[in-house]
Amino acid sequence: MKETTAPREVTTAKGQAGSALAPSGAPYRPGDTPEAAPVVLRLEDVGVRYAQNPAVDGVTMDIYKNRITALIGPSGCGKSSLLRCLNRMNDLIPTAVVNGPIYLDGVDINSGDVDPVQVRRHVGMVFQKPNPFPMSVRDNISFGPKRLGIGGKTRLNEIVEHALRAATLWDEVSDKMDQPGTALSGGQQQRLCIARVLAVNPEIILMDEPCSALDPIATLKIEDLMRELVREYTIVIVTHNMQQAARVSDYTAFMLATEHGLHGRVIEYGSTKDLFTNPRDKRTEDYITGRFG
Amino acid sequence: MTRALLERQLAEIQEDMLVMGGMVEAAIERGMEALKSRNVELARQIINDDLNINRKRYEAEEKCLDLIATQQPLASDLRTIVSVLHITVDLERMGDHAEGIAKIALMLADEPPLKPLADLPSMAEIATRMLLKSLEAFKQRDAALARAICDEDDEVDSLYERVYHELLTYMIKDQSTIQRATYMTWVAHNLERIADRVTNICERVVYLVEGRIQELNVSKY
Repeated sequence: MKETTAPREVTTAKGQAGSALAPSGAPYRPGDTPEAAPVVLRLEDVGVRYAQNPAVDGVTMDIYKNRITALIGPSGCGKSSLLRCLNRMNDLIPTAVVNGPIYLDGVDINSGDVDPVQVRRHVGMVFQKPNPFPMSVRDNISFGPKRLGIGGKTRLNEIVEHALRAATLWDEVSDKMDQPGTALSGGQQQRLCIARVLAVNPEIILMDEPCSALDPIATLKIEDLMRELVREYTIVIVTHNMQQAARVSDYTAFMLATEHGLHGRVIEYGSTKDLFTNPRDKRTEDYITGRFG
Repeated sequence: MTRALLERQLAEIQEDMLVMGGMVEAAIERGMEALKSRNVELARQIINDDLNINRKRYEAEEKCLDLIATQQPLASDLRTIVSVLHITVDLERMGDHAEGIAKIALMLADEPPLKPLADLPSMAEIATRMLLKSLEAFKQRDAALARAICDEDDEVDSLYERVYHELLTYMIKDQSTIQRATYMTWVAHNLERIADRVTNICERVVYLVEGRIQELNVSKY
């Protein structure tokens, strides 16, 4: 078992798609689910602690390519901590310690010689509150590609338009490209942030409560967008909104902490349809039917 | 325990369904009584009372749809509501079959009896027993009992075949019995359908308990 403590040294990225480092241990497949999609992320006995406080414990699960996987559970169950493991965002928290390998296309992203910046290029993240950079719509999107060394106005404009179209925002902002991103509506800002992630062409998109600050219409637009994006990308979403998990995801993992904010575990992981109609574990049943607490 | 309103509404729709089951059971028994005793008044009452069963079904459907729309039920709550929706439809149709028996009782009231009733009351007895047991299986969330009840449907089917052949024999031997014997085959058919619908209820009990939609009463044809 590997243990990594933030911050890490930045080294050469090796987390390229198709690398041949074979994951160990038996894969975890949600029960009774014939799944033809390949595994893109494999977590093996993953744990997270903040200083001496364990937040997530013993999570072993496979995330499937071109599928939406939802992490649900009560506040403090460790779902955001687990999500942050998937692109090494916990590295940014000084007290965070992540245990256990997480294989992205077969390469352990927690391995010492993997560059977290490269991991985040492959695994982008959208946060709870839309957080456009204080710059124009265009610059918000071109910021990432520029940092990756992509130059040329025409090429950058192509990337910007492509990302905005993919985020279903182009038609609404094509005449506002030089206006500040922060001037857009909340829902537009969140789609701008999604477009910003798409601009660096990630493999996986993590979403941490992406709709909690949005109204129902903006929420449904993001959900529609997620179903579009999953044709090209793999999405992992943390949501408090169970109906949202039921609406958009293919798989759902229910997490629960034995104490508030401590020892969060995956209690049940399965196809969303099964988990919401016929959960196997009474704790899942109690949570999703609202008998929890 | 949270969601007290949902709990109360769930209890209510299940209670309504069980009351409806009792109304259907009474309709079957009274239908057979009307047939045996040639009681026209009773037959008319059963036909009239079927309206109450139908009304009960629509009320149940409305309550279930309200629950789905307003409470976003999931897991066993959702399965309970879906099961009640299906079972109340089956009960309503069983009520129609009982009404059918009552109508035949009316049609036969002035006709001389073909023969003493023996197998038809047996069919009715097994079918109502199956119905009561299926509702008990629902109450107890007992999938094993639900599966066992379906085996009893074979008894009803055997009796139906026997009654059918016997009545055919009557018709062949004596053409003057054709109309009465045909009516009696309709009674048998109604009872056979009632037992079949009990197996639908059993399928819903299995779904409620195990989350699996499974056909229990596989046709032998």
